[in-house]
Amino acid sequence: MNGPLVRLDGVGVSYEGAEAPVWSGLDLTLDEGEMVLVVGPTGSGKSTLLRTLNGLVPHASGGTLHGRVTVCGRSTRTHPPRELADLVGFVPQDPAGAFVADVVEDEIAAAAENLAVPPVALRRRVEDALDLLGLADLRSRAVGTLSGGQAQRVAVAAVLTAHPRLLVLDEPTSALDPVAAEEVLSSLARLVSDVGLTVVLAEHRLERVVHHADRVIVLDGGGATPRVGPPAVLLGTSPVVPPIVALGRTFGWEPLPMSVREARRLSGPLRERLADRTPAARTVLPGEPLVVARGLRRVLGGRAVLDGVDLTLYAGEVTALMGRNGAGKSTLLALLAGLRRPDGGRLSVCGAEPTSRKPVDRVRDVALVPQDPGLLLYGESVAHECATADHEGGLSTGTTAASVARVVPGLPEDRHPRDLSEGQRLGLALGVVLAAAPRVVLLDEPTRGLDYPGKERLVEVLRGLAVDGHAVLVATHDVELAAELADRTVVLGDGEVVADGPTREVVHQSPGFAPQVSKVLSPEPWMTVAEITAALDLVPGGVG
Amino acid sequence: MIAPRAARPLHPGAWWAWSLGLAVAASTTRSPAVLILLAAVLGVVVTLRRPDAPWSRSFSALVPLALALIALRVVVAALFGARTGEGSVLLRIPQIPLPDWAAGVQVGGPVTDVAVGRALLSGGQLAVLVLCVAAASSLASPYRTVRCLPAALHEVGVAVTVAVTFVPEAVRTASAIREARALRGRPSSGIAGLRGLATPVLEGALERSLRLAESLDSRGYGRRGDVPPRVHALGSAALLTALVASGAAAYGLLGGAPYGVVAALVAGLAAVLSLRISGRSVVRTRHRPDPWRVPESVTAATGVLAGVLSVLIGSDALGIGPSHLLGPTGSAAVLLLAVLAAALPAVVAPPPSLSSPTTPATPVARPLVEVS
Repeated sequence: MNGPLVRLDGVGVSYEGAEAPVWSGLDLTLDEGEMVLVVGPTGSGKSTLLRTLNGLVPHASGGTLHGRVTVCGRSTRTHPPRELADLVGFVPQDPAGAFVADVVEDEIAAAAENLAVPPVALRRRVEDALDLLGLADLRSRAVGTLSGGQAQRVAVAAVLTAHPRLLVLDEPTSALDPVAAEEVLSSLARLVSDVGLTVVLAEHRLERVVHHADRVIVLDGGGATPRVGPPAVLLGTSPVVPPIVALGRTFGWEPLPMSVREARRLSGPLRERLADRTPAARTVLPGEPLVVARGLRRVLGGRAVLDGVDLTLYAGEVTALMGRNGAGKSTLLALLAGLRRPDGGRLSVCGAEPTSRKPVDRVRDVALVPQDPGLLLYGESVAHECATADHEGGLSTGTTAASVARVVPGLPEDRHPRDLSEGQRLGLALGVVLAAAPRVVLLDEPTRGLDYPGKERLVEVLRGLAVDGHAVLVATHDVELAAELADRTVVLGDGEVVADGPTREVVHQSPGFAPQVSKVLSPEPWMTVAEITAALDLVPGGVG
Repeated sequence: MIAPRAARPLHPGAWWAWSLGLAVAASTTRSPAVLILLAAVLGVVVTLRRPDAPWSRSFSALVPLALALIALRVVVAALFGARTGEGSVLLRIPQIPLPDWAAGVQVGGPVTDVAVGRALLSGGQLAVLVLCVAAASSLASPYRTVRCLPAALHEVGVAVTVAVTFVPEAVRTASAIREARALRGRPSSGIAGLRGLATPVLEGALERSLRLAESLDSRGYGRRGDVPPRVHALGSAALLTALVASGAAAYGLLGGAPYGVVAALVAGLAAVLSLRISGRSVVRTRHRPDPWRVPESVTAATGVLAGVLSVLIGSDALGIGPSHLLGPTGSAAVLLLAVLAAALPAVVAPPPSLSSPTTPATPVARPLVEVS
C-alpha cells in the first residue's frame, strides 16, 4: 500500500441549523503505527472528528461533510461504514451499549464473520484477540455481566479481529478506574508498536494518555481549524493541559515533560526548593457526624457487593470514594441515598434510616447526583425544570432557580436540559437537588465527560458546599480530582473498606491512585500544582 | 447414572424443531389431557435447561399471557357464544336485547357446560401454542438463532438483534429513571411512579437502538460481496415478483380461481431465485458454529415425533368433553407417551453454559492498594 493510511483534505463538518461549522479546514495525513490524541473542551467536536474517519459522519448521523476523507484510497463519501469495516475499527463511547452479541466470544468474532474471514483463520484471530487483551477467562461470559474495564477491552478485541489498519476510540478510559485504564492504554500502545496499527483516540483525562501520543489534534471549538502537532509543542500553549504539563510550564522545564519519568528527571531543582516546605494543611473542622454506617451489607445474587462497610461522614468534609470498577461504590451511594435497603448492618443518615422515610422527606436530608445527571432532569427547559422542582418539593417559588444559579450562574433559561453542555447539565442537576437543602450530598462519577474548566468549577462548588456545612461524598476514578478536592479518601475493594484516611496519606500508599504530581515528587507529600505554587508564592500556569 | 457433561448451549435449530413439533401437536389435538401434559413438559424442560440470560426470561413472562388467553376465551364464549343448546346449563346471564340489524349476535343467555368446555379447550390450545414459542425463545439464544439463518435473511437478523435488546433496555432505562425520580422526592412506585415515564423510556431505548445499528454498521454488517449491481438489481426484481405472485396466489387459491396454482409456482420460483442471489451478495463466515450432535437429534426427534403422531392419530381420538379427560384409548395412549417423551431433552440436552449474570466477576489478580 502506497501513500498515507488516512488522508483528510480541507475537511469540515457542519450541521443544519447551526451557525458555524463544528470545525473546518482540517488537513491531515495519518501513517502507519501512529498514536494520535484528539484534545479539546466539551462540545468542540471531538466525537465528530472521530466519526468522520469511518464514515459514520455523514452516513449515520447526517450533517454535511466538506472536503474529502480517504482511508487507504477509499473515500468515505462513496463508502459507508460497513464498507470500511476491514480498514477502520471504531469503538464508541460506552461500548457496552453497542454490543451486538450476547456472549464475549461471539461479540469478538462478529466483525470478522461479517468480513467473511475463512473459519480457520477466524478461529485463530479470535484466540489471538482474547490473548492480546487478556480476555481468555471471560470468553463465555454474557456481555451484560462485564465490568466497565472488561467491556472496554472486549470492545477493542471485537474490532481487532477484523485486522483493521486504523483503530478509532472515543474516550476509551473515561469509565475506567486508573489501573484498568492503564491496562487498556498499554494494550493499545503495544498494538501500535507491535503490529503497526494506527490509533486515534479522544480523551478528557489527558494525564492518562498524553505520554503515549505521537501527535495531538487540538480542537478549540467554535468552528476554528484544528491544530495538529507534537504534544510537547501544542500543549505548551493549550488551555487544557494535564497536571504534569502544568508543572513543567510553571517551572519552565525544557523540553516540556509528557510522562512521569521525564518529569522526575527534570524535577531536581524543584525538589531542592521544596525541601524545607510542607504543603499547607487544609483547614478542616469536621463537624457533627451526619452519616453513620456500621457493618453495612448488601447481597446481590448470592454475592456480597458490600460486606461490612463502616463509614462515617462529617459535616464540612469532602470525602472521595475510590476503588476499581465493580468494587461497590455505586451500591454504597444507593444505600446512603435510600434507593436500596441494606441487607445487614445499621445505617443512619441525619438521624434516620433512609429507606424508612418517604422520598419527599428523604431528599431534604440526602441528595445523590447519579452518573448520568440527565436522568434527574425531566423538564422542557431550565426554567420549567426549576418551577417543577419548586412545586413538587413544596418549596417557595424561585428557591430552585436560586439554588441552580449558585452552582452555575447564567444558565440560559429557555434551553432544553439535553442541549446543555455536560458541565452545565451536571450543574443544573446538582442545583436542583440542593434546592431541598439536604445536608448530605453524594455524587457518582461526576467528572465523566467533563473537561478541565468544568472540573475546576465543580471543585469550587463542592468545596463551597463543605464550607457551608454539608457532608460531601464523591465516588470517582479520577485521582486528580480526589487530590484537588477531597480532605479524606475511602477506598473500597470487593465490598470492603481497604483504606480510609486523609487523601494525602491514602494516595501516597498506592501507586494506582497517586496523582501525577505526587508520582513526580514522591516520596515528598505534594499532590497538586496549586499546592506547590501556593507554597512558593508563584502564579500557577505561567513561567515561574 | 449419567456421566457429567460439559455445559454447552444446544443448537438453536434443535430447540426450535422440538418446540414447533410440540406446537403442531397442540394445534391438532383435541384432548385436554394432551394439552395439560404438553404444558407440563414445556415447563419442566424450560426450567431445567434455560440459561440465565435476559432473553431467557420470556417463558415466565408469557405464562400469565397464556392463562389470560384461556380466561378471555371462556368469558367471550359465555357472553357471545353460539347457543347450540347442547349440554346442561351452568348459569344464565341476563340476555341483552339487540336491534334487528344485529341479528345473529347474541349477548348473554344460558351458558352450557359443553360451551365452556369447548372454550377451555380452544383457549388451552392457543395458550400451549404461545408457550411453545416462548419455550423456544427462552431456550435458544436469539443471537445464535439469527446466526443459523441463511445468509440472505441477514437483514432479518439485524432487525431481530435490535428488537431483542430493545425490551430489556427499555426496562433498564425505566428503572433507572424511576430511581432518579426517587432522588427528586417523587414516589417511585405505584401508578404515580409511572406518570410521565413513557417518553424518556422510549427516547432512551430508541437512542440505544440507533447506537446499536451504528455499531452493526461499523462492524461490517450487511457488507455486499463482489456482486455487480446488475445482479443485485435482478435479486430485488425477483423478490418483488415473489411478493406480488404470492399475493396473487393466495387470492387465486382461496377464491378458487384457476390462476392460483400457476401464481403459487411463480412465487415459489421467484422466492428461491431471490434468496439465492441475495445469499451470494452477502458473504460471511461463522465462528465456531454450534455443533449438531446426538442430544440435538434426540431433542428435535422427540418434538417432531409428538407432532407427527398427533397429526396421524387425528383430532377426535380422545374426545373433547371433560369426561374424556382420563380415558385414553389405545392410540391415544401412544400419543400421551410421545408427548411425555418430549420431556427427554430436560435430561438429554447438556446444561446451558452461559454464565449467570449474578456470578461474581473473576477477580483480576492485581493489588488494589499496596498498604505499606
